[in-house]
Amino acid sequence: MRRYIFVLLLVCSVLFGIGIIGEAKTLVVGIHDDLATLDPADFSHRETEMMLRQIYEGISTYMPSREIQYELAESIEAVDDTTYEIRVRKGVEFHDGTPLTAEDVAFSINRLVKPGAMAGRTSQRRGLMGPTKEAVVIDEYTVHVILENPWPLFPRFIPWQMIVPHTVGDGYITEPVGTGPYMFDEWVRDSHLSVVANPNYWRGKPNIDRVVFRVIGDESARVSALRAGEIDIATMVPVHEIPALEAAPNIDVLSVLGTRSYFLEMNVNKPPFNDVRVRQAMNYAVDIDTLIEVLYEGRATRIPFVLSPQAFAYHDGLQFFEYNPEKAMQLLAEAGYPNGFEFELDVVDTHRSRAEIYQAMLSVVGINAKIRTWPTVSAMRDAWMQAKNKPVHEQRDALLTDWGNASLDPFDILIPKFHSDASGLGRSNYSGYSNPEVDRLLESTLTSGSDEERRAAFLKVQEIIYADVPMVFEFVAHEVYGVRNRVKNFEPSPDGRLHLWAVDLE
Amino acid sequence: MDKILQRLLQTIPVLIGISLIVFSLMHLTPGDPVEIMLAEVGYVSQEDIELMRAELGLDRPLIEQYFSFVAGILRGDWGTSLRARVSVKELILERLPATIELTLAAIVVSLIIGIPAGVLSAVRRYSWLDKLGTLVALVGISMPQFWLGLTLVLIFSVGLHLLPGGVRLAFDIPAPPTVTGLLLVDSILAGNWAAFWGTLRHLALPALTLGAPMSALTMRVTRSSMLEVIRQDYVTFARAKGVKEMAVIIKHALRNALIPIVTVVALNMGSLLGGNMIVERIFSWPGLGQLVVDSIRTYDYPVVQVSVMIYALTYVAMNLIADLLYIRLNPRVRI
Repeated sequence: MRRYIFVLLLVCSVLFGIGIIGEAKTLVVGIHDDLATLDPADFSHRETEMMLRQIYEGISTYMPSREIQYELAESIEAVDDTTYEIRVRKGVEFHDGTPLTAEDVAFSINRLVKPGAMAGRTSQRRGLMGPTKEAVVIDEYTVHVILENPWPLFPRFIPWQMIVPHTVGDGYITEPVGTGPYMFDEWVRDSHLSVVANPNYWRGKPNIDRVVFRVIGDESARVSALRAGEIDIATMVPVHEIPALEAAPNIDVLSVLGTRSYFLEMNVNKPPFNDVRVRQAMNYAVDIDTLIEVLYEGRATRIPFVLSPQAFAYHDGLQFFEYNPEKAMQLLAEAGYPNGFEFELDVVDTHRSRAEIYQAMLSVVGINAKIRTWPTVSAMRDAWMQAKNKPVHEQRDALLTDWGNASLDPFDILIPKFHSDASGLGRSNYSGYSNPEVDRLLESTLTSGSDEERRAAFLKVQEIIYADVPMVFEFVAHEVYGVRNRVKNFEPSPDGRLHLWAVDLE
Repeated sequence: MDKILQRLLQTIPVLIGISLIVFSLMHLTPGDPVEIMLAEVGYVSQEDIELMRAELGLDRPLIEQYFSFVAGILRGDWGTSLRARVSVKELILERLPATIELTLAAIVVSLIIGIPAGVLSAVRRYSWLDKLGTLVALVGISMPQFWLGLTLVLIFSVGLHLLPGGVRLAFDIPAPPTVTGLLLVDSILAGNWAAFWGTLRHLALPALTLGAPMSALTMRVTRSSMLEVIRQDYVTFARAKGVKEMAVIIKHALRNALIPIVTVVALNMGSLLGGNMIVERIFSWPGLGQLVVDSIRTYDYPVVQVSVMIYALTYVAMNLIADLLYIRLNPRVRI
């Protein structure tokens, strides 16, 4: 009998023993979603950018401080209103050893903006290139980017794009070769992406030999993997898991103000929300601070309007609506709804609890919110867009939603949300807000040159829209990372980028 | 033989029906893949949306899209993923082995646990062992898999650090060259024992999670089937002959009791496919289940259509196999 136990123990130790001995300096990042593709011109998906950015670099990039830093450019300068000159960094090599030249930069830009440039299909990232027409090689290290009309935002948008070798031709990229700190090793879909240190990286070889991005879609499983020591960094840690992670001795919880703003949009053309007093009442009736405390355990920053405090031209003179149900009821009475009213509140499934908090708070002032849950944002959007073309009484009432303003330039949140042209610039203007003055000012920010002019226009726009309250303004959520404390020099970014070049392991 | 052919022919209308239902459901649900791809990416005009829709062939009439899908399937061209821009065949075939390996492991787990437990329960009927077995089986069947999976991870990975809580093989163990795609088989073929043990350890928790409800079911079926057989005259006769009790149970009783067990197991393999979607997500298992969930979420029509067809086909095949096995094991229903 004793012999059997001994054999059993031996077998067990072999079974469990193998795999504990790891190789030096492998960082494992637990991510919530897999790459969509390995082609840096063919996705609109933040996680894909987060990972491909280890392999590829841009002309420039956003640092965690939101500063723009040149990567493959030595400089970007406006030659005239519609031409930017990019001086390409010298001495940079792709992972296969070929030197980076202007040809690669021009090719990469043209691949993004020319319709049908990738196997007959157009890049999903073209929208981020604005009125960029084409890129032209001037000499070995100089590229001119030609715009169809003046676009002062070019330097702020080019950090979203990555540079590929011109040899990829007109197909899709399946074996990525970039200039970044890490080289492609292997990708097993829905399991992991592995990259290894680029010994010839122009800034110097990274400290870590290998980075593995392990896909763990389930948030609880991701946190468990962090606690079990299987991963070093967990992205998108859910709020309810924070206390457990903070209690763990070898794990730090890092959070950073994100770029996604949350709000409730009201259909300003349909009663009762066509009355500004009702919209004000909605803002007074909802206690956003409590909502943040309850839903996010305080890990969100309240905003008086839709812009993040870090955004360009943020208006710091706008006041929060205080929580004041009496005032809300008074406004409702003035607007002719002394007994409140009933409306349908649309929300995506994942934000149902947010809607329920609204429901409870609004019921205090006599407003009955009937929650309608949608499976996806896209489904909810479809329903709104279809109803928009119908007579007002058949349109939808209000929806809880959010918008990522990753550039932190007001243009890419204010224009889609408040421009009146619902089939064009104001594609996501659910509230039906329409103000010719706002349209004019917003359009001017797309083309007018100086920062000061744009700032002035944005400040004015914020004041006008704020006074019209087409939304209940809420907050910008924080992004939370769980990090094992053997990881050194890791700083999370507001836009979800992972800057791993300087990161080290103890 | 005619019966087999008949059963095979029956699957054709089933598949046509399924393809129609899946196709219309996907296209009728509100939401749009192009909107998802182009949402929140700077300047997007209506023309950009139309352009992409045309490039993806989504601007054609639905009926035309359906027939080109069916024609593609018949030609062996399963279409191209809207999101990954890779052929659906490649996407599915590269994941199928992971799902098959996990499913087979779950079946093995359920048999290893279920049959001995069922036999024991039957032999020691109404004893505390039997009652305990019934209780455990009840819990096993009722437990939601996402809960069981996470609990096992908490105990064995977070708490005891005994077993890994995800992926097929540790990142620091070189994987064996792909032959069958089943890592256990491939590592044996390559003589790579480190990879073999590694794979086995990684399989343990997901297979246990996936197999738990089925082992409970197997146990219950084994128990009732054994109880029936044990009362038969030939069992009594074997005992009277002086055959050892162990041999009576295994050789005479269990072998005959196996018939309904096999049927039930085969029929329920289909239900494992559903469980895969949950278990694969928890354990970062790169299989078909995760692919289907992701594709539905991103409205990747071609991938959803083909994978659902594959699920349906598997289900139909399981039923067929169950029938055939039944015939094979039970000489009384020979045709």
